[in-house]
Amino acid sequence: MKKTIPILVAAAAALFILAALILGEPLAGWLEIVLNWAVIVASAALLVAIATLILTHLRNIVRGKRGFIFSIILISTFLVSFIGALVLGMDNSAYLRWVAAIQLPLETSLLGLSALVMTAAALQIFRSRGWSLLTLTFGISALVFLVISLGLLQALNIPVLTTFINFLQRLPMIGARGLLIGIGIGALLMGLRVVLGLERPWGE
Amino acid sequence: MNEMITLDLLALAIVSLALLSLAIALLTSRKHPYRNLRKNEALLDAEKLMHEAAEKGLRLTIGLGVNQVSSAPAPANLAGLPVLRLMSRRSVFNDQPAQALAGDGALAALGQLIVRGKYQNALATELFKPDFGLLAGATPYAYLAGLLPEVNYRANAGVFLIGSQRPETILAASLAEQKDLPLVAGTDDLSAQAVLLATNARLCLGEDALNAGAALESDPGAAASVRAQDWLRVLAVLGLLAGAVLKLLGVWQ
Amino acid sequence: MILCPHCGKENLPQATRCVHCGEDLEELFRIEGMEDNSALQEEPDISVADLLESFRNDSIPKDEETGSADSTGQAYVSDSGAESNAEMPAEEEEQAPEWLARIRKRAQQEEDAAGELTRKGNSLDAARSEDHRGRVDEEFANWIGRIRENARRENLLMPKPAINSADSDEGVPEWLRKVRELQPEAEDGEQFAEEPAEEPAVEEVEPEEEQGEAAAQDQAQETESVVEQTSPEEILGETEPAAEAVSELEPEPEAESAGEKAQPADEEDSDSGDAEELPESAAAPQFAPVLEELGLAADGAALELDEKPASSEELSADLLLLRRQKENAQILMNLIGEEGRGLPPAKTQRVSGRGLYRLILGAFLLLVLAAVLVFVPEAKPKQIENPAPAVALKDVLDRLASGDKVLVVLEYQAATSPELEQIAAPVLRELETRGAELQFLTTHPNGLWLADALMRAAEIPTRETAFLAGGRLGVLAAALNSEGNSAVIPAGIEELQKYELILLLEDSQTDIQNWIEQAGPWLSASKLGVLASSQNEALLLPYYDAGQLAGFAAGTLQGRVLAQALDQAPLTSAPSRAFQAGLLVMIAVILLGILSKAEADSSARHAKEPEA
Repeated sequence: MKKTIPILVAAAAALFILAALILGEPLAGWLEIVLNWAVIVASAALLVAIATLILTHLRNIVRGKRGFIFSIILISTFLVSFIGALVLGMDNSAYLRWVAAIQLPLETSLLGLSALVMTAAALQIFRSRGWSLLTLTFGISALVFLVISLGLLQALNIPVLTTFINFLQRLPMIGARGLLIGIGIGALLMGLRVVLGLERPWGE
Repeated sequence: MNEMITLDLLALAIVSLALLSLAIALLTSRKHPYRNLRKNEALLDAEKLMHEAAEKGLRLTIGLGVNQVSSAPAPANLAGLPVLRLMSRRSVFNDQPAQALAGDGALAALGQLIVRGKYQNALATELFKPDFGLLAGATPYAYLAGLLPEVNYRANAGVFLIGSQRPETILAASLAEQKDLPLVAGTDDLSAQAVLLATNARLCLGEDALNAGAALESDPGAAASVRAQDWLRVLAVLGLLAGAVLKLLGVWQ
Repeated sequence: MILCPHCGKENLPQATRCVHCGEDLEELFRIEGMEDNSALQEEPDISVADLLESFRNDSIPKDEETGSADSTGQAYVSDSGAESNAEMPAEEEEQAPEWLARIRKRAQQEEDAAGELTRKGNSLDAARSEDHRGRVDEEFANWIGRIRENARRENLLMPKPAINSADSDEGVPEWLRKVRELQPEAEDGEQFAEEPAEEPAVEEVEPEEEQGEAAAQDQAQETESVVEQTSPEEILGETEPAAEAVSELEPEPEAESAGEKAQPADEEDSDSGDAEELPESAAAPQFAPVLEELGLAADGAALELDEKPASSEELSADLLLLRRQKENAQILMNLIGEEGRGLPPAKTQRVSGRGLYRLILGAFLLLVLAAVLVFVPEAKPKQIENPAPAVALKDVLDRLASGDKVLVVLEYQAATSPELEQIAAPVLRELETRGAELQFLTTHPNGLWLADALMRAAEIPTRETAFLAGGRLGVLAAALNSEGNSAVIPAGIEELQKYELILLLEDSQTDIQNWIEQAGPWLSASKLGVLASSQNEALLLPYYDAGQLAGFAAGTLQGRVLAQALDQAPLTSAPSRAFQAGLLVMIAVILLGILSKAEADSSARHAKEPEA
């Protein structure tokens, strides 16, 4: 019973959403309520996860676990942000700028590191993976699209070249469409598995 | 409005077709769900990695991916859960249990539910710690920042990045590579797939990541899903070809 | 059945009066509590000696048999009345009426309740030698323990050992034999050939032989040796694969028997694939001929270990392995082969000296970018033909009139905000100039403070940014919010259909797909426009091509072109030259990678040539 109820709830919710989306008006009011519930439950899950995270780091601090200094940083920054938002309000421009001033350089530096790592990976890909159809295709297409991204060829304003570039730019669409169709089918079947109780993300 | 109704009917037809394919796949492969099944090589390596981790007494780390704040997990977000399920089941009594990290609250809660359940099933609840399934961060970069130290953990045997990952995940992949850790990666994000291709990661391309349970032989439903997917893909290809021909012939404007 | 003491004929146990002679049965044989003790009534009257003999002569016991033997045995161990049968002639035992046996047993159980009728039995007990009883008890307990242990171990090793095989006689474990069968050449190789596997095996079973328990020894030895050798430091000279070997060879559900047996049925569902293979593996040898008859064997139910033997001798059923077992054995072989080598590296070779080249590469990249930023002035870009999606977006923007509502949705991270601001700022400025009514919405908490920076960059008046909770659920709720009174939708945000344009500022595929898939079906195609970071261009193209997007501009280059088309100046701080320099560096690095690989291959070839 303990295992059956979640399956029934998931299946009922999924079927209801499908029915409401297809039937439209008759179930619209109920759909709104169900969506509200879902948003509240998802938000509550986030709170639970944050609470678990904080408790884990508190435990690390209390036990003096290796690297507990990072736990102290995490909890203190969390508290400062949380209390700051409570006291000043989320629409306080000073608070918003203050948060942005911390977050922006942190994230930008991570992105910069990613760029560097990608560059290094590009250098290594042929050495590490060797010559293969995959690596050759990857290398050639990367070069072609990097050159196109420079914009220098487009700046020449040669009609034939521009047409050719436009053609090349549409090429990724073919692969992307194939992948998207595949992922869409996969996602659809995953959803059906959840509805049918074959896939139980909540189950152990 | 008519367009909407047509879309609805089309959607309903696709869903029905998918349901039918899944049912047929389930019925026809009921006795031997994994026989003659197309399996992703990366996930087969994952199986071996789990054995090695157990043998060496080391830990496996899995990044379950990111999601929008306070949103319900998307199908791609659920992709890593079968791997986590199997990994946890096998590592209950290991020296170092598996470590799951999520970039979303609901996903973290699901991850912890799974890990706890495995310990309950093994009648070893006292061994369970909430740290085994944690929220790494509520935004993509916070998730990445939380993931990196765990990849860097000294007793890691390997790293799994399965779910909805972003291109920045290359930092974690690169770190794993530097530490000589095997990395299995699967994501639905096109940019992330392209970026991870340049690393040493064993990749699940496309929707293969969504059916990890099939390759790991831990979920007959996923195995049936792989078969159904293949059939539907063939239908999609035929549909695209038919559409192109009809358009060329001017029948379909 | 009970016998009438008067006529000696059989009656039902519950009869109170003999159906043959009519005499009362009730008075004589009713003993308090006796009626409830059905176990005693039904127990066969077997002596311990008989029981021991039967165990000795029995083949390897199965689980159920062990269980029943256990319970029966326990009943008999304390049954001194039954033990006295050793001194009693067998005929007398058989001839003793059932009522007498019952009374004796009852008396054994409750000494205090023993009356005159039980004295005889008790006196027989007393007469029995204490030494003999102790010996018998000990022997019996030993046997029961051993049988239990054997059964348990046999369960762990599901591939049933071939009882009469020659290898087993040598003490080589079953799993090792099968692994060897998989790769016969390995026996001659370094892994196994040098290991005298037989010796430790024989040594291990010697204590068993010393106990002089000959009757069932051979069979018990067979099973025990398989398990006791699961410490292959004695066999393979290695320690770790031991437990692994056993766990590898045992079917999945058994490996987790402790936890999984307690697992409810629906958990079994998910593992049913494995669960199905369990009986198959246990019964494979027996069922193989049947399966063959049914035409199923060829379908991979069981695979032969190897090619057909050269002698064309038929493989016995015991030498067949299931596909899963074969795969597990292969994994085991790999593990044994990799033992002591540390964790396997990633699939590809790690190149040494990476730290240094990364440092050099990073320094070079930074140097080039810094030089470009400092020394190269930002030139006015040449007129470039706009890509079709950007032209389409411009057309939509051009159609907007004063007072038209535009919803600007911010869904990007702080890291990509410089890129997105560069693309979006000219567009927002153009919308402001046209007098469009702008509203800002975000589904990311980040958006709340990033919106402020964006509005400042675009030099438009600051507006409040609404937060839409729930991610894709919130987007769906907003799309379905026809009356504009949903609790999820923030105040001020109207029905999405009322906006002339919903302009998405995106850096993530997931977020883009959310809007196209959740809100798209409820909006007309001309209402969704996207300004995105460059890596999303490949994803956006199919959606644009399918008519699900009004248009888009992805990346700084397209953003600048769009800005030009709108007669808006791009952001002065926009480091487009630095972006181009970065791209050039990347191109150079990829070329360098190709050249270096080619050079390495060439060196390797040259190195081989002199040897040849």
